[in-house]
Amino acid sequence: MLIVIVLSFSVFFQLLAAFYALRYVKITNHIFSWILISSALILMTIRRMVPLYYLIFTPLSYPVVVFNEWIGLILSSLMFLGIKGIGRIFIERNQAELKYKTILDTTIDPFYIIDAQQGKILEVNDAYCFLMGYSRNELLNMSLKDIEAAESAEEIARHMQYILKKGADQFETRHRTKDGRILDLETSVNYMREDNEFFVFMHDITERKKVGDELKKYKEGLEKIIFEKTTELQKTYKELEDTKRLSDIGQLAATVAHELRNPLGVIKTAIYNINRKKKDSVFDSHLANIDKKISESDQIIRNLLSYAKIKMPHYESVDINNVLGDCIKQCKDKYIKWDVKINILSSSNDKNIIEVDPLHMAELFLNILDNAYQAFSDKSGLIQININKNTNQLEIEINDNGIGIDKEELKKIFDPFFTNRARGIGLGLAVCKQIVRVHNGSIDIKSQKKKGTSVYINLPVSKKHD
Amino acid sequence: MKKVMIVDDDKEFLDEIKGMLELCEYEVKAFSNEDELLFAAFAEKPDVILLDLKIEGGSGFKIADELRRNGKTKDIPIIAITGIYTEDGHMEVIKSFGFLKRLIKPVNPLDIILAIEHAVEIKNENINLENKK
Repeated sequence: MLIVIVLSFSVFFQLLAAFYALRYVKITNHIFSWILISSALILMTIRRMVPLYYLIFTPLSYPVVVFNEWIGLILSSLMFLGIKGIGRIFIERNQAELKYKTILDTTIDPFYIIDAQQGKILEVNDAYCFLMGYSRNELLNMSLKDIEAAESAEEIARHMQYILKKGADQFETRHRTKDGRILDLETSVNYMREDNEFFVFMHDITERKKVGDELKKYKEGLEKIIFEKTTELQKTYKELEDTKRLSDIGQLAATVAHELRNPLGVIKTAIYNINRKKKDSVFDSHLANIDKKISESDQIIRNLLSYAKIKMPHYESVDINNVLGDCIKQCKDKYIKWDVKINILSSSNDKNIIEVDPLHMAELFLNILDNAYQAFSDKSGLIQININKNTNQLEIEINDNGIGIDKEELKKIFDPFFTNRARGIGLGLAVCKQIVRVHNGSIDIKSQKKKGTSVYINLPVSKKHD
Repeated sequence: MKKVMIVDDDKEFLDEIKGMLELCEYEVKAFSNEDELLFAAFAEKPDVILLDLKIEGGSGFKIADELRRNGKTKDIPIIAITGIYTEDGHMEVIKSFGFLKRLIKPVNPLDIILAIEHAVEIKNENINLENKK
């Protein structure tokens, strides 16, 4: 009776073990192994059922060794426990795999595994498939070089070698999607030594990079604007400082000039009185000299004042030819004994009418013509004036074949109080520049020593409406 | 003899102008401050008054104003002599104070005489006109 119970338990354990083995077929996917095991177990069960049958139905005809059956029971139970134990490992592993797969499918960051030698894609997650626009199967037939857009095949190989040695790396790269877009990806790679695989997590930073690039561009643009504005500001500041300095100088000059007029007036009257009272003519030449010098001083004062008071022009429609003609006449009168020829060449035969302040223009031309005369050391020479008028600008070019100006002097030529003349206070060209400036025009001087000097004046044809 | 009064704070200027005008046979009274001039002008009624527009401690404009307000002196022509109010824009203000003419320093002596003669002429014409009325 005990033997029957022992055998029954053996059969029960073996059947249970076979049942578990068959269950694992589904869980572990190792169909063949588990079917073999369960078949073996079923055969063993059948083997145990033969003595059980004989014992129940013909109890005395079948010889049973009790010891063997005990061993059989122990083996069966051990087999059952073993299979159940192994199964648990498989289940746990299966759960871990499921967890791992769930993680990979849950993450919105793309992930893939590549073979560390060839770069062949071995595994991808949904996020990566979605990002690249390829199906999972397509990707699994590709390798890294098919999708990499930032590195060449050699560079990929070199980079892989580097990660192999280092074990991990983080970097930015670019992948090409199925529809040809290039994506910027922040990449983190870990080398799995056991499997000789790279585990790669990526983060799509295309937008961030685009925004970053735009920000950078914006920043650069901003920096450029700031730089431009700063430069402009510095220029304006310098101009303002210059203007202030000039206006201070002008103010001082005007005050001095006014103050000088009083004593000059007295001297002038005194000369008159002496002239009237004197009885002989021995003083005549000296008195004439004093009188002449008073006139010269007065001229200097007038220049100073005219420089100090250049303000906004009173615009009128003026024929530049007329103004120039008057100025030439005045110069010819002033330098009556000099042999200077003046030619005028105008682009149009007609009048050159522009909107300017005629008094300013006269002052401008007189100064330049006077300078030209002063350049003729032997009191003879040629002044060639070219006038060219187009729709917006009037260009006047005044050339002389005089002594010319040094390069060093040319740099300072427009500075107030710069002069290389024995007489004069160096305001002429400063006045010219101011005049041209208030007319929104430009003035430039080119010169070659011993060859001559050219003055280029550009004036807007009409007053700018601002 | 035409009587000319002049005020200026520059003593040498006064001396020379006085000398020059006396050479030209004018009777000249020169003053270096406004009160003296006003006092004398009210008393003596000169033919012409020459005023420096900016004098120490006073102003030619103020003197002109006082002269114009006083019945005794309101018809006396006054001439401004200045080295400061020399711009065209100043002329209107100068005229509004009743100045007949402005002379800019340094003044040519002959210009002073011309101005005086011109002023006297105008004054006489005005008197004739009033007499006719």
